[in-house]
Amino acid sequence: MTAHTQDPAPARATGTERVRTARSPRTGRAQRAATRTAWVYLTPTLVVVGAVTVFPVLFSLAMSFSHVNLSYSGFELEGPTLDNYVALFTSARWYSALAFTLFYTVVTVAVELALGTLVALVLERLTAGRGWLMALLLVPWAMITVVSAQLWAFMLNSSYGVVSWFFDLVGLEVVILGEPAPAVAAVMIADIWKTTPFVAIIVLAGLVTIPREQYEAASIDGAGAWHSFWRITLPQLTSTLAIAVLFRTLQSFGVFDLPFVMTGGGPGTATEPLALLGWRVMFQSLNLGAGAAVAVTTGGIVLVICLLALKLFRAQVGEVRR
Amino acid sequence: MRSPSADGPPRRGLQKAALALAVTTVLAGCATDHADPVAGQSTDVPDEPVTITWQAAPFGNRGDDARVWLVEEFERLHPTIEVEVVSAPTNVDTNRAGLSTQIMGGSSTPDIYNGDVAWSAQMADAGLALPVDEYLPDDYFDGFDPAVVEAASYEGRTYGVPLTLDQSFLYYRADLLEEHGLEPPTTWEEVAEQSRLLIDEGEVDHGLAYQGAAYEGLTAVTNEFVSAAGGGILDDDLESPVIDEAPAHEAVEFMHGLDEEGLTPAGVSTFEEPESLQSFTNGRSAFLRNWAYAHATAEDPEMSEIAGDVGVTAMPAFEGQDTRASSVGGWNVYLNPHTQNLGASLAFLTWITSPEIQSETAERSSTVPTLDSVRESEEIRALSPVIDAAPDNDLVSRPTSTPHYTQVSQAVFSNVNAVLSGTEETGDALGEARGAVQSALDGRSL
Amino acid sequence: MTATAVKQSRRRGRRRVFNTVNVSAVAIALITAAPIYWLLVNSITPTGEMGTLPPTFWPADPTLTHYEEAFGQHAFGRYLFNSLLVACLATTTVLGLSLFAGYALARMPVRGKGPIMVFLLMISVFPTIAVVTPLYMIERSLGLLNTHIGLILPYVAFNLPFAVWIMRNYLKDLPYELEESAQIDGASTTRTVWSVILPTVRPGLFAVGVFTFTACLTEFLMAMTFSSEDEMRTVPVGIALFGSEFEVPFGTIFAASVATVLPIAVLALVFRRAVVAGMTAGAVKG
Repeated sequence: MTAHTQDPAPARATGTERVRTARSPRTGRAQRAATRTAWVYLTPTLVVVGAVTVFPVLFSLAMSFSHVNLSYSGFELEGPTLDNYVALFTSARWYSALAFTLFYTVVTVAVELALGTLVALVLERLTAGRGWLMALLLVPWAMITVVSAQLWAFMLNSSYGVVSWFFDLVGLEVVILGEPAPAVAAVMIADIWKTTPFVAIIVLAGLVTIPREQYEAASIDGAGAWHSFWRITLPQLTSTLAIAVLFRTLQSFGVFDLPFVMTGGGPGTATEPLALLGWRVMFQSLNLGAGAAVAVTTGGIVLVICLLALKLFRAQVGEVRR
Repeated sequence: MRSPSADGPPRRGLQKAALALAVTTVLAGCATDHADPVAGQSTDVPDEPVTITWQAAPFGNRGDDARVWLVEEFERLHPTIEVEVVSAPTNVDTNRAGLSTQIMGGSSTPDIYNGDVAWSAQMADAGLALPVDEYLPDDYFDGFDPAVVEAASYEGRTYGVPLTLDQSFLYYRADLLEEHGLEPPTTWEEVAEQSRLLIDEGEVDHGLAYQGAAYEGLTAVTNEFVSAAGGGILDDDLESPVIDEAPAHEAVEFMHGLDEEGLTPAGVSTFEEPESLQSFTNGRSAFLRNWAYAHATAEDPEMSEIAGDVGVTAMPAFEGQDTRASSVGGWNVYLNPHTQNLGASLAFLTWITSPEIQSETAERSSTVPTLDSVRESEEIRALSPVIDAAPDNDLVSRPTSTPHYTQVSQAVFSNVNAVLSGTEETGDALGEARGAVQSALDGRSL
Repeated sequence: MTATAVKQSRRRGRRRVFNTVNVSAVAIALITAAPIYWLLVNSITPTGEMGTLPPTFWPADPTLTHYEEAFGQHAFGRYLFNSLLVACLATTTVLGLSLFAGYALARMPVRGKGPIMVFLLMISVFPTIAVVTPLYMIERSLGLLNTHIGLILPYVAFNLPFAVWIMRNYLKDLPYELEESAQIDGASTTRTVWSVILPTVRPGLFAVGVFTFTACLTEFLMAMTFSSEDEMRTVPVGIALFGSEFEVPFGTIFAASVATVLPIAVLALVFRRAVVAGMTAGAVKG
């Protein structure tokens, strides 16, 4: 099936499909009927998504450009103004949160992608106990984030945590959640432990669609396992990996409960991500305008990253194809 | 199902509808004037049956939720009023986030809610609490500790009725002190001295455990140390920061020194209340700075390895100073401005803060009463060593009367935490704190 | 059989067991399981024994008090019911809608696919923190607060974009011969999607389903804000109510977590053949 892999770009896909549908002998009326059916399929999704999300998103956009006054009678938006954005861009805390979020996203997504692919390859080749391993892998992913964060905080606790106890035993003197670098690493490890299984499942779903014959042909040609991974597996996984990267990036960029519970953003603000900053500005400081500005800028940055990533993957796919 | 029209997908119409609906909601909210939102409602207890909702996190002794028996007792005395308890998240910030979203959104429930003493100015400023003094007799607040009423007030009005008066205490290992012929310390220098001795003797691993993590609790702790050293976070008019001046510098240097010398547990910069208490109850630390609740847990043989050996005293001063500074904490009861049950709500909140009920709560739930007459009475003081030690504390408030207190506190705790975790020098950190506090006061910080 | 032959076959047998794949699988299992083990052990360790040094790797006196607390003192059973109900309904809706929407976007003649996909992406990237307040106002005016539908709706809306993207990605890779042969048989498009396409994209649906289900099960902010009545609360919110201001009851939290994850793990185990088949059988080889 992946022999037909096309680029994941929506805009270009339209053209390809027109060629595709043209292959079946369709009249203009059949084409119109197909279009009508397509809209019937699309409408419920667009209605639900639109009805629930469009107003809230627009409303926070408006808040981010206003002075928001709260009183007994609710919200009053005074604007437009750029004050919220000015406050953001002149705040060292915002830059620190941005830097942490970017670093966190890059590292966790890269590591989870590599490990997830590895786990998927193992799962694919495993003969005995595959079901057991998959069931086990589902557990961290299905665990409520707040709880897995509590669990890690409990294990890493400097006075009674089992990990700290072990570190002490081997002579490592470090207050894991009390020093910036180890705290950042700890939060990322907790994320990697929890989310790698999800990446593995996505990659596995792509992996099993690669035609076996291609490997057989390669092995007849005398290609080693490493070679066939680079030459056959990876190129065919590109569009699956693109999806995994896209949505892991999205989730990582919105990371909130893990550092909230594990470190409270500390030490200092070393592990405070943008979403936590935004939440605090909104609901702790009740500074709704600035909080909305944090959200809007965060959304904007992720959007740019996602579109860039898509472009990159598109180029990659094209290159491989040629 | 609708067929797609020529002018585009039908979702547009629905979006418009949703938007119009929501915008109307907001505008309807804005259209009303700023006057008393409960105008026209009677402040009397209604004759016909009503149900009011009270949002509160559990409090009281373990296994005996004070909310439950308080409501039962109230309902027995007021047969027409039913009180529905809504459990609040135990994390203070999560609790406030939920409450503020609901009340900002115009919800009339909960009618009354328990809120941190530090919230008053912010809740008042954002229209999330009603000025309750308007509906109570003029002398209603006379019986309460003035520091507590002050903390519940904003721009001349009082917004919260003080329910519990929490404060910090110094807990110590009575057995160890006695064994080594030591008196309970009254100064921080003595705490350090005795810690050194007990560690050298191999009795404990650490001296003092306290809350040093980057959160509100550290602001309360810093406030105590700095006040004990004769300084403060803000000046007396609460208008400009003095957090980088000499007394504050000495105080934070002292905290840092304890850490450097190994007199506090290595992870103190990650400690909130549970970790610090654990370090004390498992016998590793000789001293503990904590709130009133810690006594019951430390003396509970199921929870603590040192039950029976716990002493409690007022907070220490610094040598040559006489302020035994203890931060004010605890809970106020606030009124939702959108309540539809003003009379019944007032009846409940005046009942729950009345002298009789405060005595009963102190007795049954180990809370420190907010009414002076109750807290200082002989019977109540005899109830627990914590309440008995309370009068020796010099209560100091955090500068909570600015609506930007959250940002002020953030500026303090994040910078002091940086010192404790060894990433910044005291001078630099306090300089940064000063700048951040100033911009918070100006309303320029996030 | 000669001695050398036995030795050789034994060596081969050993190699069959100790190969890279099996060793890696064991390593993966151990790393995944270690924290879970700690969760399980501490959910049956008495509070007094927790957090002692050296750590208790198996409690001297295992107890179920934490479970009793979770289910007795707190209405945890009710929270679990709400969570599962909301997550199941939201997941089913997302699966159904995303299959058809993804199909339309992947393989049918629709104008404006690009803008639609970007619109969906934009919804996905917008942080929930900012939409909670306006959504609360909408739900309040529609009377949806403290209802299951009041949670299902936003869960569906915020998980659909991802689901549509991932389904479209799987669907557009399918060979066109599938529909062509169905069309020759005279089947309608809907029928084709249902009986020809659906079985071939099971791995994709599985991934979407797992993703949506866990996202709904673990969501906190909206669940806390939109459901303030105790009988409407979900598991993550319920857990946030455990303990008191200065006390984190790890034992009770861990017990509640085990009680939530256990049904999922057991289901996955019981249906492990189906799970594996679902992951692999949909593949169209060649």
